[in-house]
Amino acid sequence: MSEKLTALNCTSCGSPLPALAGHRAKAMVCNYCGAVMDRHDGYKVLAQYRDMPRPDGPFKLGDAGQVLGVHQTVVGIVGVQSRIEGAMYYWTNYQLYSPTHGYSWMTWNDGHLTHSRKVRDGTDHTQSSFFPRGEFPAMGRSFKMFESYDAVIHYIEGELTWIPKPGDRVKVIDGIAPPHGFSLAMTDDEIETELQTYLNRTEVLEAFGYADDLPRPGGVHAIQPFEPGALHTAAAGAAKYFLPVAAIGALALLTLGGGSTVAQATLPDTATGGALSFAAPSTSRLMSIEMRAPLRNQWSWYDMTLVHDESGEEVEFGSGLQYYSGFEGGESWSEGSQTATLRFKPPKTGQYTLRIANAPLDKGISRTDRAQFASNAPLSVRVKQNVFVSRYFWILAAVLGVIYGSLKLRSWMFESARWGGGEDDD
Amino acid sequence: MAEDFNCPNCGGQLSRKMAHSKMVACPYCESTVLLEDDVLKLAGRGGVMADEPSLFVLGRSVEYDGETYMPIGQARFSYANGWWDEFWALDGKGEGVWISVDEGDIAIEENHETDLQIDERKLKVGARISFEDELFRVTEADRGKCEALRGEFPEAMSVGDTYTYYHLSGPRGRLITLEFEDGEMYVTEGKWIDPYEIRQQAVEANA
Repeated sequence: MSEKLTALNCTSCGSPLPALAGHRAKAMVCNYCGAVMDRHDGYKVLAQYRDMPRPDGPFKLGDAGQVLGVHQTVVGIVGVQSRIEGAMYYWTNYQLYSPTHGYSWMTWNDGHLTHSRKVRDGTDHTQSSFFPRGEFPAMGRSFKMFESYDAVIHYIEGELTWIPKPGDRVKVIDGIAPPHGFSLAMTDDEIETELQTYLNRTEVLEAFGYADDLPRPGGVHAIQPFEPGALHTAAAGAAKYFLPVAAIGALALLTLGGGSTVAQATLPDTATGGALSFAAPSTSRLMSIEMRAPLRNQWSWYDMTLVHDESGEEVEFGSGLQYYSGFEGGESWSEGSQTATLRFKPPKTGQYTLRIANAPLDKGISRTDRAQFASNAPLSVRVKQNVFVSRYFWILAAVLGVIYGSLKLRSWMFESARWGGGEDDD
Repeated sequence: MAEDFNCPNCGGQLSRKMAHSKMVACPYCESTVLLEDDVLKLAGRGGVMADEPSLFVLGRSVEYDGETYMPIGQARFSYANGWWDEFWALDGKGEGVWISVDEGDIAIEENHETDLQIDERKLKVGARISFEDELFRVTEADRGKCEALRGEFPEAMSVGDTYTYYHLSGPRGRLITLEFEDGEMYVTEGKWIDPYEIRQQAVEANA
């Protein structure tokens, strides 16, 4: 009972074959001559299938490695094909054997790797449990119906848990809850349920002694989890929580951060200019100078000097206004603005005088510009303190929105690709 | 609480972990010892049990679906195509269950009392039979022979004992096992469990 066969010769062609599976495997299929032998009946040849097209895939009989934390050996290979919505699909099932965990499958499908094992969750799953886009409970999870198809065997090799033959057909219904899937496999004789798990291809290949230098997987697999990367996930996670904070902050500053007026005046003639006096109690808070002039197809430029009364220190700066409007081609238009706002932090606390006057015109400016220069338009000036700027919060909110939205967009595109191959309407 | 006594054959110290265990296999001389009314009787030989990879090891508890199981007895049976182990294990409440292990096909079963009599001749693989008003299908039928024993058991067992067994699969995953030995039918009921969900615990010092 403890002696274990490790190799034998094909009872049909005499080729050496590895004996890798346990005693529950029923068939041995010679990969040289295609003979199907009954392991439970002295390796009697039951049938022979020659010239089977070998399926695509990276593994061979005898390969061993860890899958889902369990040491597994490839003992059999089954090539499967299916016609789904008019297109042919091919994949390769590797029969795995573990002395402790028994038999399971690893599937190579267009570069994706999945693991599946027979499960019994105490529920009587039937075909009627599955309906398009419906959800059903299994194995403590909720699965969404994905697709149904007939899987047909076209290649067999090695040790398998049943007596197979090319052309064997199984009706399969797949439900998904990435990274898992739950399938109903139905033959005339029985219904089996299987739990699938999407595998990290690179990890598994390395565990089996292969470098993952194969072409990238094609498309999105039905049970492939959306894995956007740790950095994007963390950034989007943070953005999800800070986006409302930034937006609320921006709205609060917009409504409450306008500041309080400390001085205001209307200068009737900016050619001669005028002055405002105000106190600046803090050097850390923003102040603003709001200007408004009733310009009509005019422009103006104002030289300003901010004088600290006590020290006599001066800061010179300037600002312009221009506003043009008209009616052309049946539509009104306008450009520029009759208002402008300057913000500053006072260099010192104390009393300030703000002097404002039109700047003298350069001799070189055009006649038109000179004609449109407003030298005598009244200018309203208001100086405010404790001004807050909401624009940075809006920019922050926009950046956070882009980060969070980009993850949502990627997720949506990923799901679209997943369901692009699925059963959707019927 | 474990109860200690000495093997009547070799004098080696034996321990009974479960009060109503009726048989203990001596690890020193491979005798099996029957315990009946505090009287020890030599029953036979425990046989040679080759070590095989297993999720279940005597003295090492496992966890499955929130319940812990401590295997205290291991019986190995051969059948037509191989062998399987039957572990007698204590659950978290100290109740005994049978855990059958055959290459990753693992079932936990408890004794099931029934007055029902089933004609063994009707039990063919694939046949459908009614059991306690539910329809079951015979999924496996074979003859097992006890090859080796270790630890303790709730009943007398002997190396060489043979019996016929049938697995019946029913609705909601119900698993019924019928065993026929010397004209008597024994019934256990349980469920298949997923080996990937089994978690092994640390080995106990006195295992």
